[in-house]
Amino acid sequence: MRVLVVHPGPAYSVADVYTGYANAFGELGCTVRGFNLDDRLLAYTNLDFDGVTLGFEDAVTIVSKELLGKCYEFWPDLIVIISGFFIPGFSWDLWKVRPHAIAIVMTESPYEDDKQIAVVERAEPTLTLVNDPINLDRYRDVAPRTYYMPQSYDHHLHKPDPNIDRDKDFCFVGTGFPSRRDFFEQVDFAAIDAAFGGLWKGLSDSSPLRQFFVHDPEDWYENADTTKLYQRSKISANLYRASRHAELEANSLDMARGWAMGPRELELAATGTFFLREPRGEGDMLLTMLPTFTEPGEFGDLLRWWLHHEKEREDAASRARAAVADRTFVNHARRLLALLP
Amino acid sequence: MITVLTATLPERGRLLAEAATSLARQTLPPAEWLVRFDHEKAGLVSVLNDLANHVQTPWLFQLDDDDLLEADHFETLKPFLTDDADIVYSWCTVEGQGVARTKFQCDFDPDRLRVDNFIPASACIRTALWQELGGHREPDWTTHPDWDFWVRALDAGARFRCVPIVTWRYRLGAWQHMSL
Repeated sequence: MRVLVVHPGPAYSVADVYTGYANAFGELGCTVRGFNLDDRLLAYTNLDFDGVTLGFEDAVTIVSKELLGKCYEFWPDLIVIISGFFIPGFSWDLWKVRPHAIAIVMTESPYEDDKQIAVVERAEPTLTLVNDPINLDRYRDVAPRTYYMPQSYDHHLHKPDPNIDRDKDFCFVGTGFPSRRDFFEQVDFAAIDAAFGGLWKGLSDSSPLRQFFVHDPEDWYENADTTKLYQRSKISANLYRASRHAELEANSLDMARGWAMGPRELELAATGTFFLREPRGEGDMLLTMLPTFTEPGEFGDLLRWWLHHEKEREDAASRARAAVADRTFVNHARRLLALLP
Repeated sequence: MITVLTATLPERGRLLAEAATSLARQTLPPAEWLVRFDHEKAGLVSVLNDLANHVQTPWLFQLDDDDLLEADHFETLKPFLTDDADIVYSWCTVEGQGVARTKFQCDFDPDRLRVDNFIPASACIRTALWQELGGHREPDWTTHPDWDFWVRALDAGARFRCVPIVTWRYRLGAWQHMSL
């Protein structure tokens, strides 16, 4: 099978989904081509002809014409679009009258479900996969063949590394949403060897968290570095976006209520890294071995208790790893292919 | 890991074919599908109990002949069929007039279950629990043997688990609307 995988555009964790699926289809024996929508958009939006520049919409149009050209050149059986926010209507319309199967992999449920459902309604894809099942009925109203596909991890990258000592007490990597900043600024990290990573734009110089950053918080933190940091840490944590400031970090309060585990939880579990987690439906069923927290004070107490109980910590981390073992990109790519009509 | 049980009648062959198609499309097929036509009109309880006697997997699942499974039904449920659960049910969309399509999209509530049957028959049941309770029976307090089973399971200390993902379609009145 010939599979064309289309990059979502943004460079953060959703880009890992692109790489993960592209590699996975290759491992399954498919002939795979990627379409670097991100690089092309960047190139066109940075063009400057003596002060004349391209608007973003024009850049999207040009890149999309290139994508259609790629389709004609490669003639894929299946086009896998990651998120599809930067695919214009004329591309969807053309694909509807061409024989390619179209699969859209949505990665921002439930926070962006309104926007994602609008894309799916416009695109009429062969298959839609969503990373949280909360609004599955709403998707199926416009695209009957919509399924919940859990987040995935790369089994080549996300695994324990016996050659790396867990010399850090605690690490956290993720975007510095206001809810996370407020939460961690209230945690007592005294005598804890902590490390923070991720894009934390606007973090004030006086923030007590700044001392813990292993890079410039105004820049991205690479996925490979994130994995290494997980492998070096005794304990990490998962905080869902919008769990506290829903009005700021999701389209609406309704959109903030999620059920599925997030990608960081999977990656942490897969690397054998113990972590504290916020309660949420799926994790509460599958990751019962990992403690939950709701308040900063409680978080600090849990952090200290588990730091001093190495055997219990390692046992829980091992069981968490087993619980998510099959959630790899390869397994999910196989499932995607099986779901095609 | 799981055996599917279906009791049906000869005149419901078309419905059964549709259910079979949905089963054949599973991305994770069940270990076995046991189907019996109730030629002698022995009744659903009798047929299901007899079929269940042949189950050799840790879990069983009743598929009514008018139900349709989404293609990922069993693959979605598999991670939740763990040692700490005895009855695992997912959500369905009700198709048919007069009933809200979300009627069976309810979180587990043991108190409510004693007064309201919000779990359809199409749930995964640990085979050992089925055997312990003697399967279905013709209850004298309700016309729904599946509800009676859930309540007896509650009394026996069974652990219920709700997976709030819509993985199948409950076709209300499909039999009446079927064009022969």
